[in-house]
Amino acid sequence: MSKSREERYAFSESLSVTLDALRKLTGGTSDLVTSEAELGGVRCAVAVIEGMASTQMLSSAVLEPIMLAVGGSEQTPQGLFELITKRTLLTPDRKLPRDLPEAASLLFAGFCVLFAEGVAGAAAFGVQGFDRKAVNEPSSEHNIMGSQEGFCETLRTNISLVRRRMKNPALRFEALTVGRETRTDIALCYLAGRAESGLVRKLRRRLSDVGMDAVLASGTLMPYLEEKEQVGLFSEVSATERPDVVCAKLNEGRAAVLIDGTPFALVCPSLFVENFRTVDDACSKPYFVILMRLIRFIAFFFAVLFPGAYVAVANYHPEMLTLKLLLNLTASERSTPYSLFVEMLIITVLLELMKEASVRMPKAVGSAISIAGGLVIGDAAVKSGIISSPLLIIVGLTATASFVIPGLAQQSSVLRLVYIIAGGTAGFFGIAVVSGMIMTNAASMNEYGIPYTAPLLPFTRKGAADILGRKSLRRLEEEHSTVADYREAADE
Amino acid sequence: MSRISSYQAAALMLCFTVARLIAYRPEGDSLVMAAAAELLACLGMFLVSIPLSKLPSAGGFGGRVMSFAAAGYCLFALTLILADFADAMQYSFPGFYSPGAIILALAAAAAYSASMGLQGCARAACAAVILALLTFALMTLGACEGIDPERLNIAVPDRGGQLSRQLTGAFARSAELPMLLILMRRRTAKPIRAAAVYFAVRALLWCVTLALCASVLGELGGVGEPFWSLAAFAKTSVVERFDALVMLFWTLCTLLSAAALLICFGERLSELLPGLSKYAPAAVILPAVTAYGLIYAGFSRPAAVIPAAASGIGAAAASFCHRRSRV
Repeated sequence: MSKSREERYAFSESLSVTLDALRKLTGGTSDLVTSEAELGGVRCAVAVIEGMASTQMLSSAVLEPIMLAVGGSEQTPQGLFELITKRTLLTPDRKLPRDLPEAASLLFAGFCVLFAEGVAGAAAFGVQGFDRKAVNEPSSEHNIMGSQEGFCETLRTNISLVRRRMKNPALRFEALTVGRETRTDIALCYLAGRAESGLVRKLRRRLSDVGMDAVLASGTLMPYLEEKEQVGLFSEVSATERPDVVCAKLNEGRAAVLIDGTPFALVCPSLFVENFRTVDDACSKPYFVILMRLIRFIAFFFAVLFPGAYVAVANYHPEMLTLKLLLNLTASERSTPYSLFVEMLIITVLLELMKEASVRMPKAVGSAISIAGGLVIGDAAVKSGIISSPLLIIVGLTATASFVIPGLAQQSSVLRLVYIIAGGTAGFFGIAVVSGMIMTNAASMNEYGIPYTAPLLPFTRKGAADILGRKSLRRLEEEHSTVADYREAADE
Repeated sequence: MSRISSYQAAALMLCFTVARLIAYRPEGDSLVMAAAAELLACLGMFLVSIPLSKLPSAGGFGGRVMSFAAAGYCLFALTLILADFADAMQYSFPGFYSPGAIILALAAAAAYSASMGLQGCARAACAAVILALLTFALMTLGACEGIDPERLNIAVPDRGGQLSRQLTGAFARSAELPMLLILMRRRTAKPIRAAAVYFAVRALLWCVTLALCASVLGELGGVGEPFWSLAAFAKTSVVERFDALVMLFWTLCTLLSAAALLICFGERLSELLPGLSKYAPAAVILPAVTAYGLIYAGFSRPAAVIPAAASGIGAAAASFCHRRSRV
């Protein structure tokens, strides 16, 4: 009769049987390194995964102290195991796996596992020492006066980056594992007492429901945290590369998910207006913040609406324009072979193509693409009469504006095309119809009970001061407001 | 069932008002008389809405009759709004859009918006109304130089007749009162407050706009659609004419009004047929409205008495059912 899984992968008192079973369980993987020696008259073995554990840490934090503790005295197997696990302080990260699969998981997480002849058990010590990228400046969220540290790919380092900024016992990290095959470590992070228990419970449940085989990027988890991920144009889950941003969000009662292997943390719930805030706002004068936020709002509407509105005005409602402007536009359009609508579509698609190329290409080539795209193609296209100069100005302005709000880059790219099609086929009627649909879509998002469009829609007096301006630090000191303040009260 | 705030309910009802104000035709009557009639109508409707808002919901057979009547009214009002919009677009922008395409696009967009739920529509309505009012304010600034208070001529012939005609029209043009009774009463925490905010803003909006039209356009304001004439007259250093911008907000408000009616229709339908998918009303109504709209757009404009009769039937049915349920 064949053995059950529990029996097959249980620890054996025989060291060789245990090691054989471990090798069998890991499929004889070549990076599993085992080393046997005699300690206090007991045959022992230490197992590590090559590249995951630090050899230096293993010898200085585990092996040397054990050797010193045992000395030359003879030990019984049980006595030696107790000495190692109960009477010696080795690494703080010490675990006692119940069976071989658990021991294997710990090995793959960078632990070393000790086995002893005559003991049906094992002791694991955290000696992680894999190669990791250093903490660098965040690549996608630059700022001037704030911290220059960004998350890296290692979960533990990222946790320490958050912890270092928030030395508060209420800061909680809940370790979870997602991905059936990858078994990726993630940490649910929140500030107890600030984050609503309902929010934490919901996130915990959603993360435990993740059924993906591989979780290799933050984007893989994002749909699991969104309610309307199939129909929602926007997302109430945002990604950030900055530990200071995560700390600020946690302080506002939100929760974050840190994922091993990716330098992006997911924050939820996230609101539409937050895309227009930056870390530098806190360091700037309030009047400057108002100006900058206004510029960012204008930039977003410019990036999304301007090309579509231009096509609609020029094709359907030229009476809106002053005579001089209209004559200039007509003169420049007369020399081009395509209609304005087709021209705009072509140039917008070309813009997206250039953007994609500059993102995917190596950095050294990226600047060459910018020069080739911006100067050579643009200039040549105008000179050869394929596109008109005003159109190039509009697309250039739109492209610049789209870089101002990186958090809404996906949405602005798609909506820009939708608005061009709507404006080109039905003028302002089409733009109004599309706007109505987008507005209801965004306004209907109510994830985690917080309206995505708050504090604009529904308008809350408390949050209104934070839309265009920044609340004074003294006021923040008094208010201690959290994101739950934006929860809509039906009978306000 | 999620509720909306009284301000959101008022904003949603104001979408009906904005859409109607833009397409309003005084049919030769004085705009001052029309403004006075609107003021009286708002006051009257607010007074009527107070006791009606307090009535308990009907159940049993009476409730089903009420739901049937309400669903029928919503369907009728929706069709009328879409067809009227297409007709008015033809009048204001001749040759640009085909009525069939307008009705189809608007009905599809309304169905999509309705599927997003009442909360989404109500929040979007707040934004739409605020943006529309800001544009109107800009338009008023643009028309400032043409204002002549002497054109506000109250001494018009047949004042009583004009006032009564406009008063009847003001009641007839109000799909919002049945909306308040059918939908907002259940989904708003404070329906009376919603009604108070709505009727106050509506009265102010109509009076200011009609007074502005009258003082700028004079007697010409009584001909055609005064709001469009004002939009064509207003001019700033950036925008030469406001017609297109007005059309943008007109479309937006009509779309949200249609979505609200569709939600209302869907809710009443689900009361009659429990377990119905929330998308079913949209799927049923879309071809029906489009077909009806296409046929309707070929005919002349309807008499104002049709929506009036519908409003009356809706309100009467509501009252009747409530009375039955009490017994």
